[in-house]
Amino acid sequence: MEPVAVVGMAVLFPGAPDLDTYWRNIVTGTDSVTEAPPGYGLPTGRRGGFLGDLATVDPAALGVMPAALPLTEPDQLIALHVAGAALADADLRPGACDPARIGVILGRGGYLTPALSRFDQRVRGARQLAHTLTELLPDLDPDTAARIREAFADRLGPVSPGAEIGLVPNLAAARIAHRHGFGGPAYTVDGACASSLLAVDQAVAELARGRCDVVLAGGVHHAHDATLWSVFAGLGAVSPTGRSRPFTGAADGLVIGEGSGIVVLKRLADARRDGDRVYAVVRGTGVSGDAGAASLMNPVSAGQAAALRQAWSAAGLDPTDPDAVGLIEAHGTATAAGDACELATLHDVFGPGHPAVLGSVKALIGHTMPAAGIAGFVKAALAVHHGVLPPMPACDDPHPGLAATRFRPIPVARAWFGRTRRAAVNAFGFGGVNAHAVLEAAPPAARPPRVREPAPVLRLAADTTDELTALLDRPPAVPSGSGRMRLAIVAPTARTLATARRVVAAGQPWRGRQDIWFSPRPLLAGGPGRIAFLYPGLEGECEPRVADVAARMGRDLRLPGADGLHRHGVSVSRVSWLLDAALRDQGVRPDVLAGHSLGEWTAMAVAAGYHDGELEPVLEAFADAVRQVPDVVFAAVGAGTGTVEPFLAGTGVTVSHDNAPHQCVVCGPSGEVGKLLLALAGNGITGQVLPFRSGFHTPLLRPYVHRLTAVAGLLDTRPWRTPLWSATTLEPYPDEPGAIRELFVRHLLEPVRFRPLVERLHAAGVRAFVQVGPGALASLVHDVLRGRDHLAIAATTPRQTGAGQLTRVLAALWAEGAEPGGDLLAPRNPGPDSGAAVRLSLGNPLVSLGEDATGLLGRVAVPAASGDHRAGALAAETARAAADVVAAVRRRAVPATTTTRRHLSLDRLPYLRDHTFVQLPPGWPEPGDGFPVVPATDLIRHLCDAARPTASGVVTGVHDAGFDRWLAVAPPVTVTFAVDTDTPDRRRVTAQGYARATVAFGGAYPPAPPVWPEPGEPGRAPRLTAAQMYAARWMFHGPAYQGVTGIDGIGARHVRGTLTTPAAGGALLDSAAQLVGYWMMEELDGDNRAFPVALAALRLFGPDPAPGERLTCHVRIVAVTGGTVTADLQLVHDGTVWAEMHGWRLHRFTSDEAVRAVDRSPGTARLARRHEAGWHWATTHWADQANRDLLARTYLTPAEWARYQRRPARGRDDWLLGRIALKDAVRTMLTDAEVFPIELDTGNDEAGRPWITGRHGRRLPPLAVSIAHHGSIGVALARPAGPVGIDVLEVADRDDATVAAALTPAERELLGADRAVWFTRFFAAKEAAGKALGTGLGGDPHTLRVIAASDAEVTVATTAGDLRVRLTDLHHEGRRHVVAWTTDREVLP
Amino acid sequence: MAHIIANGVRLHVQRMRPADPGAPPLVLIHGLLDTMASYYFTIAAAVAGLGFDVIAYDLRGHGRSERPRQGYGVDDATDDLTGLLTELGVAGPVHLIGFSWGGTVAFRFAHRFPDGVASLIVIESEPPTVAWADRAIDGLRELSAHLSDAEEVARTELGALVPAMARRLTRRARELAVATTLVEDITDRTGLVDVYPDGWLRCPLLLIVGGDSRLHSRLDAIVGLLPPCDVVVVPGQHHQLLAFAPGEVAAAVLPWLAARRDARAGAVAP
Amino acid sequence: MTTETVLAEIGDLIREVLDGYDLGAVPITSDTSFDADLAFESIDLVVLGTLLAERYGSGIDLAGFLSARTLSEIITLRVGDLAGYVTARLEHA
Repeated sequence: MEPVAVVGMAVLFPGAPDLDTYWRNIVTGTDSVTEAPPGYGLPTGRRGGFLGDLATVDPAALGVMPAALPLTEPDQLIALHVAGAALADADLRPGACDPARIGVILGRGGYLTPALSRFDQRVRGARQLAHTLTELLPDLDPDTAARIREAFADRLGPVSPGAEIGLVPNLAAARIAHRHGFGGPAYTVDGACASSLLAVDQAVAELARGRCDVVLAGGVHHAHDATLWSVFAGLGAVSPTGRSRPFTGAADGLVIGEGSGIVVLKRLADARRDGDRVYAVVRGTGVSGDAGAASLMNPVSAGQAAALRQAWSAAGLDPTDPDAVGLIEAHGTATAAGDACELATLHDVFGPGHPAVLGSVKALIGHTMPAAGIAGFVKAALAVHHGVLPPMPACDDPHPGLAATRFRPIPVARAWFGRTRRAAVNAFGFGGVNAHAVLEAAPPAARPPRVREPAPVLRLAADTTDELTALLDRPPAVPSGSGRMRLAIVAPTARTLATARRVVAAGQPWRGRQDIWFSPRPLLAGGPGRIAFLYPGLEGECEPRVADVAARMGRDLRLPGADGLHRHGVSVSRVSWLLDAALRDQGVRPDVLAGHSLGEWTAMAVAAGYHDGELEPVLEAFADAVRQVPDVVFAAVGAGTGTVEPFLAGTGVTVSHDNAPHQCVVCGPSGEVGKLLLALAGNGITGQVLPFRSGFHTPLLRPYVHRLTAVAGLLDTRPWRTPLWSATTLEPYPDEPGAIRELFVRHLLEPVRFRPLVERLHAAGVRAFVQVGPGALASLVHDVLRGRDHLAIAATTPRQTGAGQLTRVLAALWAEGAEPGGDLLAPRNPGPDSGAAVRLSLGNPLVSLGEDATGLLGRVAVPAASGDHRAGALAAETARAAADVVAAVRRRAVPATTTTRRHLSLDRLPYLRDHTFVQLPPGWPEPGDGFPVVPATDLIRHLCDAARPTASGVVTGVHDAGFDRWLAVAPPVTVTFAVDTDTPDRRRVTAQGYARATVAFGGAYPPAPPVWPEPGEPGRAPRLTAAQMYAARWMFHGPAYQGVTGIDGIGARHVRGTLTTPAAGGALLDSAAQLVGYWMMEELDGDNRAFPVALAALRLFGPDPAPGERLTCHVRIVAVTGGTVTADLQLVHDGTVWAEMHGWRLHRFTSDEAVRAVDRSPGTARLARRHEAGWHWATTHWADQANRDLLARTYLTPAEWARYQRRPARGRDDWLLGRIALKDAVRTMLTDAEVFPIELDTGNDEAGRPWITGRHGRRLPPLAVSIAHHGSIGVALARPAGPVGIDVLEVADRDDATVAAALTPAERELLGADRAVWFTRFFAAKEAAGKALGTGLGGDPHTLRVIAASDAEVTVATTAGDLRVRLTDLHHEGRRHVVAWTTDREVLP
Repeated sequence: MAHIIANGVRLHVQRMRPADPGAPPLVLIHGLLDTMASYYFTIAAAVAGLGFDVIAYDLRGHGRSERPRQGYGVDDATDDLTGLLTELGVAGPVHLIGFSWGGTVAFRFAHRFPDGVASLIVIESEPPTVAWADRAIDGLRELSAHLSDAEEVARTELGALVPAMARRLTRRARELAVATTLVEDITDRTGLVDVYPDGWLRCPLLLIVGGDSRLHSRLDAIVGLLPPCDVVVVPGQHHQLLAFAPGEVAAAVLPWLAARRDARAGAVAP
Repeated sequence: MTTETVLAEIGDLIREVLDGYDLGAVPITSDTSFDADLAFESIDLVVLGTLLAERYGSGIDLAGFLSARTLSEIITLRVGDLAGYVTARLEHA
């Protein structure tokens, strides 16, 4: 058959949102089979391949009305999404193929899919429910039955006429054709598990007969319905262990998966003609049926073999050839019958031959049924494409049938050697339909440059960071907002958007990392900010990625290479020329031009308005002129000219290029340069000889001045169209032709002064430097202007496509306030990342009526009791109204408020030792350090106690309780309780500042309501027992509050447990509430820490059970939001309801992993990080104040806590960070297994010096410590002996007055070029030295003087001798800090 | 008064819903500086009478809808409409009627959701293109030039006919120009195309233009951008067709719509 | 229901439509012009229409009433015209 090329592929399979991840998972053998995520409606514990949250699409971007979603089969949207990705991957040349000749063929099964299943619920389920109810309850009036039916249907979402089209099965294929306007056949095929290979077979046939030029083929399967599971379980095919282990001894059946895959197929000849990338070539396909099967379930090896032989025959290949095949992607269902039959087939068809690899992707993603064939096909195509033989996990226990074949699974991936990489794929379906495909690697072909669409750019502007953050929260598809602050993100992803949020919050400029550009004060807006184009000279290699730019510009770019001065110069110049044109085409206009070395010529030519290529004769003449220059070499040196020049005295080597503070280029005879490099290396300075010669920019060219003058004569000088600056004079170029030619010659004889030129340009207002050509000029600019506001960016880089990097340049310039108007920045149709993505509902959980249910049952109950429910309801209404009137009258008559005070302390409430938030060391004598608090349920008891003397009878309930803050009892506290008489039987009680509630009294307890029925949803065994829950510290409660003695069942919306009444105050209800906490821990993914904020109602139906009494507790989770969890609880004692809690609402707070670790194991976990030099640093880890306070309680002693509380809010964080860093630094030095932070006490002596000691028997060795904090960083240093000093300071540009006050004139002389950085280093060093001396700076920063400096350390002169202070940079949240520290060993004599 | 938060903006919505729960939804989109009233008092009741579930709303910044500072481009308007339909639970296909700018929005919506539109009627309107944005700039510039000068307003086409209406339009334009980015947004050409590919519109299309309107003079060019469609020219009328010739508009719209009311049934045929 | 009662009720509805707008200087009579006196925008009429339908039932169809009028008739509409329409419709109902 005619070979067919695979030119594009895309998948969405378990664990794999895209093709790259799919391949990575295959190569690493990542098993993506998991338990069913919530929302699939499958019984608990079912294992399979699930997409879960990966099933996310942007319906609007797919052209689907969002409201149509509930009635659109998810597989249609996923197919549309995957097809779009496959087409993008194929990158079909526009106009190369006729949309009318593109077909779509997808394998799809006739299973019960989620949307159809939901529709069935609405159409049939609702009717069935009403029908059954009427049968069971003959008295049920028709209205009620109808209401129940409506309530049921309501839970299934709104109806929208017309949307039902989304339920028609073949639309999985038709939607793709419709969306893209394809006119070829578009349909689905069903051959069970062979379906998607049948689709490939049909696609091949469509291409062969010429009806289509392109066919999208593949398969979809998204039908994790309980019915499908039942079918396969009924057939005995499902693995009871839930593991997919084909061809191993552990194989015990298949696990069900889901997913979609689509490939784009073309005739190979067409693909070659169109320059498509070819992943693999389909050489043959075969399809057959099983004749004479024993049953519909039993595979027949002869039938399978027929399909295989057909395919190999179509390929014109002999499968028994020893080298015929290197990889079999087997069907491999892992069922006994299936695996044995398939191995027999392989043995039969391929015979002995050379060993080859066998695998099945089902081991990783489960059996994706109709999509299984394409899952294997894509895997095989990727394998031949990458030349990698993929592994199959857990293959150390092979199926005995393998031994007879030439195939073996391999445990780890390995390279695929051999002349022809050929793979074959099996897919066999129930009922005896077999398909096979033969794939091989495409013969190599040069792929001509193709223009890819540039990445989308998100551009947002606003006046404040808050506005920007708001825009970021809902990123629009088009540039949005106005305002001075600008933010641009290229190809935004969830990750970069998250980074951008932090960047914006920090409010500091951010230029380019993660493709984010943020400028709170754009450099080019409003003020004098200008743009310079910098043209590079000869630099290293010249292999720029600009072919796509040339294609976009319609230019023929030929680069002669980098060998030889002339060719190298021409290449660089042509790239510069192209990029200059591309940038201008995109609306970027430079204000200033300059060049580096020979790049200055390009700058001249551009500034003078030369045409493309006009400069090249000058280059050629120059190359000729200097051809006879003696053998001299250039070497790049990693240090500034000031450092290098002392080494040059007496050598023939000179500095030819002053590039940057940390780079210059020297030039001289090669021997001399070699010696120089050795001398420099001895001083720790690196250098490297450059690959081009010819001594320009040095006096070595002087003998050739006449020739150079002749070359200059070739220059046709024209008026400058853009100002051009000289790196020789550091001035704008002259205008007079003679002067221009003179400068041209000087430029070749004198050093390139690029560093000072950049300084001058910056001083002249240039803020954006664009490197127009290959090389590293932008990084030189960075080095020169470090710490000063500037943008430096290269228009081409090896890391990006040409268009990709240009897009970034435009985004960067836009962020700085420029308005490039080119089409690279124009938004395209919103991509998957930019729109409102929606997670598709792939399951069909049982319908729950939720809160509506109670009302419906209530209405049912009324007629049974009174006979006339309307009259009953009216009477109740009247009675309520009358009661309200009476209550109102009484309220006026009884204005009493009584107040009482209660003294609460650990002495009085000793059981609260077991209700503390912070773990203490074993046997710790101060239980108050653990932060004991009164539980909300005990607060309720206190409120009731306060109300009791003002009323008679028993407490029957508590209503509208609110808890405002933790009531901590160490140190002891006095709380005022105020009681207002609401009505004769109700008291409004407030524990002032902490809690409030209405307490209801009655003459007797009301009759108990019925016990709640079994939960209406499936339950499962909890993960932990009650004892484990406490032991593993899922609950912080100590023995007095450990009332949960059994966890009996848990489900998506409930938990049930057994309680044994503890003696402690409020402990029974608290234990009931712990079950809610346990449910959250087990069911909620994040933010599962919580504290109670409200209780709508507590109803009591009997006296408090005595300690030791057992109760059962049933918790219903009523509502879960991002911020709260609300539950109803029922406590049953001896078969009778004792109490009900309604609307028990918990506030969830953000769970911070670092804080959680410290919380779980305060004796060992540390928050601060250790720097390799031994000091520790801590940063603001906490997500919110609640987490911070918890951390502070864990780290601080009561005395420290009191000081912490007294500190002003500003700076409180820093102070805490300093203490954390110090305690962690000391804890690291101790050898004990556990040291709790609370065992260490810190303080400052009268001179302000920090100290640290142990508490309650914790002994510390002699220690010298120092501590510092600045911004959101705390640092600390601890050593066995002094002196030690440490300081941290953020790098910022200080004004002249500050610098003068802080540094002596001599120190100012020493400051490096980058004043902001060097000033910070000096000052931090002086601070650290001051601390080490124990004197501090004593109000006069001039008492300590920096007398020598390098990047890593400075020397500070003190009265006690010279002190060496080490320095390092510390980057945190986009800010740069300097940390300076001394050590005991480093006082210089 | 019904308000719905759609796409983050509080929109004023009126729905004329017949008893038939399966009535096909039809959305009325008004023009710039206008409100849903332009339909309410003209053809809305008659269209509802045909058995459509008529949804009229005020565009953001207009009528009784919220007036955010920004977001007045054609894609914003499309997003608002998408959000509105999502909130109303309308999954389409919907019939759309748009006047002037409202028609441009309707074109954009139909382009983005080809399956979402059952039929499209545009009155004095054209699809968004670069050339259209250029003309919109001219139109808005002309309007803004007249903003402060009552005599100038009186000299405009509309001012001469109905001074009160022209005054009102200029006042609204001034308010919107001061309080919002409407002018910049509407004339922003980013994302606009010069031509549309074949088959970009798949639903039946009726174009109604005034015989004396500027748009009529460019009718050939506009029709060239569109698939085969029905065109009705109302002789002697200018741009404000809906206000001045509601009878003629109704006469064109009603029978055309009646014939397509049950178009959905055809669409589902296997 | 008399035209006076209807007029008074319509006056209340108008105040509701123009919530916040100071009507102290403009007593609402049958002669009050929606355009000249009340500065009604057409959208205000839409809102008034829904209030009327809420108050008097769906038989009061302001859209239908106004769609039979020309633009200039709508602009010169007076409160009395509307009250007359409402009264007539209520009598026929």
